[in-house]
Amino acid sequence: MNKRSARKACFLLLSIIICLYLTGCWNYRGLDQMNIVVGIAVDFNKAENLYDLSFEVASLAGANKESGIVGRIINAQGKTIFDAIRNAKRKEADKLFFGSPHVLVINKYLASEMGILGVIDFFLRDGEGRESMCVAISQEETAAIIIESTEGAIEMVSVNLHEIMREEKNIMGSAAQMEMYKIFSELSSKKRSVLLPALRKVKNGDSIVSEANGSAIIKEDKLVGFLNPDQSKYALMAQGELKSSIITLGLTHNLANDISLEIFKNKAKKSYKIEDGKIKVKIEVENHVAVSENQSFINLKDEKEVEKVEKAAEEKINKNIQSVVSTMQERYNADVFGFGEMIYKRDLKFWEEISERWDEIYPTLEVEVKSKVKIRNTALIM
Amino acid sequence: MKNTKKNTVTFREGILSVTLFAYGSSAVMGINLRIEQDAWIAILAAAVITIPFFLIYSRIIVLFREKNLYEISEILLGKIGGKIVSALLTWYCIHLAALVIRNFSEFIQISSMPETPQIPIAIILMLTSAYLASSNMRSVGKWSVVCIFIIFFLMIFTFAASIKHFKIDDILPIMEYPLKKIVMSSILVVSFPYLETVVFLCIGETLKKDCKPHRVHLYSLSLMVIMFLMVFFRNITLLGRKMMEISYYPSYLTARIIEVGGFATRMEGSISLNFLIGGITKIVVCIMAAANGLKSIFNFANYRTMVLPSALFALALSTILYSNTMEMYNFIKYYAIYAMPFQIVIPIILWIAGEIYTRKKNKAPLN
Repeated sequence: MNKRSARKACFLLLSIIICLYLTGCWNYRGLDQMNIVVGIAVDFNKAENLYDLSFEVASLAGANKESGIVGRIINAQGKTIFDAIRNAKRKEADKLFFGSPHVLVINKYLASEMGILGVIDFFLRDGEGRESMCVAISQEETAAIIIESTEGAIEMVSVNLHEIMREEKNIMGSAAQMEMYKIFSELSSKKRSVLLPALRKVKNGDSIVSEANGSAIIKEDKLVGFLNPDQSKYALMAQGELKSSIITLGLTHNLANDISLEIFKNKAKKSYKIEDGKIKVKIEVENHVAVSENQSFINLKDEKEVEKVEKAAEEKINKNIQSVVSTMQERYNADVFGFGEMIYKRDLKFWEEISERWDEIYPTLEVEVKSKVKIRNTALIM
Repeated sequence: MKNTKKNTVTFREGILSVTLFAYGSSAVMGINLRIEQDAWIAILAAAVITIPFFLIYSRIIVLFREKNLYEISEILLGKIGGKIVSALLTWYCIHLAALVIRNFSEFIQISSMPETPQIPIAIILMLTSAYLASSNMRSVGKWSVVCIFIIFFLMIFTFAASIKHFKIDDILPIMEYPLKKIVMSSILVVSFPYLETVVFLCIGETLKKDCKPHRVHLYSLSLMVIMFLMVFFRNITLLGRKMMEISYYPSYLTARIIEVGGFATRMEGSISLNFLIGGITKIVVCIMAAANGLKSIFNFANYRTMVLPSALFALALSTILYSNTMEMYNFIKYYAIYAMPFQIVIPIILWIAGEIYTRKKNKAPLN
């Protein structure tokens, strides 16, 4: 063996040795030594001043081809959230792993009295956690009940809920899913309120399942109220965040609504002007829809009829958005549409003048809603 | 003699290694200036402030071709004065290397290995850099050419992922912060990272004779500006301004939440690699410059003998620099003042002295 190939052999050998060392970590943990957390529910026990946390973990032990991975609940209490997480270790041989939690469900009392930013701080700060986790508010007495699985459940509840919330925006648009980092950014910005999905338990066939039920209104990090699914839909529409949804209309005198319009495209623009010292906000909403149900067989080949349907839809949207906006202004005084932010971004000087009094000004804003509906087609039949 | 002739970088390698050097620790720390959406103004303003200094740096190289800053100072300031200046510059190079090592060991500890002590990480970083530094500048030049493509690829990829979410609203209102604060922030950017490239003057002999140094400097400055602006726009679009504001490592957080078409998710691994490439380049250049300085102070024949000692010194220094991460971030505020003598005062003195020296020298034969 000459010198050259000896060098090569040495090099190869060293590379292999280095590979062996580099793949290990200082604190190695195998999959079987971890409890992978998929969902977290945070409650607060006022009597004892303790956080009450429930974790849904994926139990890999019983997983096989037929049954798949099922969830298992671990409960823990602690003086802070991290304390509770570490306390969970007392009951479990394996440490909880927070690499991929899907949802964080927060108790409604906790959210309305103590605020949610305190809760999400830990998850944003921790290196292991995911900023893209979904945050939701429980409408039930506790948050834990939401992620508890019911008999006959074939999937992990949290994973399921995450999918539901994600899809809501794309299909029904009745709940506003928002990632954790966005919540932080939005809530820290100028007097902004946000909508978060609200969850509740309902009966579905034989079992009781969790479902998305509209949104929770968070003002300055505290829960102030809930919107029902229909209201949330129009709230999202006014922000142009609706991916898809249905608008129903009752045009002929029927007992039920007879027309369904499927929204394909939703755009919204908001602007403001100042007239006589009053701020006037204008929301322009544009929807591209298709007629997907026409029970009374209105003749849609006729342009006039099409226009009529469009007008009716526009009116309905105007009315509903107007009502959501005034609910927000009068009842909750929560700026979920970001009017304040709009003024701050367009006219900084003016905003600095009014920002102190924004909570008083916001309910008195004059809001004009102008919507436009364009029917694209009537699906397969006329 | 033969060795030094070979140890040169071409025009392109020069540009890319300067860019990669500046990208180094700024990428991981993020251009976080505490002025939220106005940071892009500071980045641009800083580039404008930097141009005259870059021209001075280039002029020094032109005046003394194939000489480094230590040799130049010995020529201009005499033996003792030259050695004092050399010692100061060497200290700056070692300190800078230590700062970068610390930045990265902190980053790795916080982001992915909370239970691993920082020293093993720092040792690995240091050894890698010392190895690269003990080859020659030519290897660093070639390494930069390869690495910058990896960095650009990842950057463009992540930037493209953010572009569809970008709204002009994200950077409004323009100039929310008072002009004074924006100027102060741009001075921070000038000192870290733009003017840190003064370290390259300490190995200035390695630029090929036929390259125009001012073009190297200005090209790399524009590349830096493009990169930093891309990073800024990407981060503010995806993270939102408050989240960007409070995070120590905004680019890293951005990479964690990026999702491209549902399959390219959780890119923090690749982005960390990206940071490390830049960081290693920076450490390597600093160590080389420091070793070069020690060589001229103690009149060694070759800088290589001093590579490992300087690297070890930087390693030791990095462990005692700060007692915690918050301190590291607070130091950035004072860095501009601390670095001023090395980045501005010494080069300007040498430049003026150099102009006088060359005028005299050119006149002499005529008389």
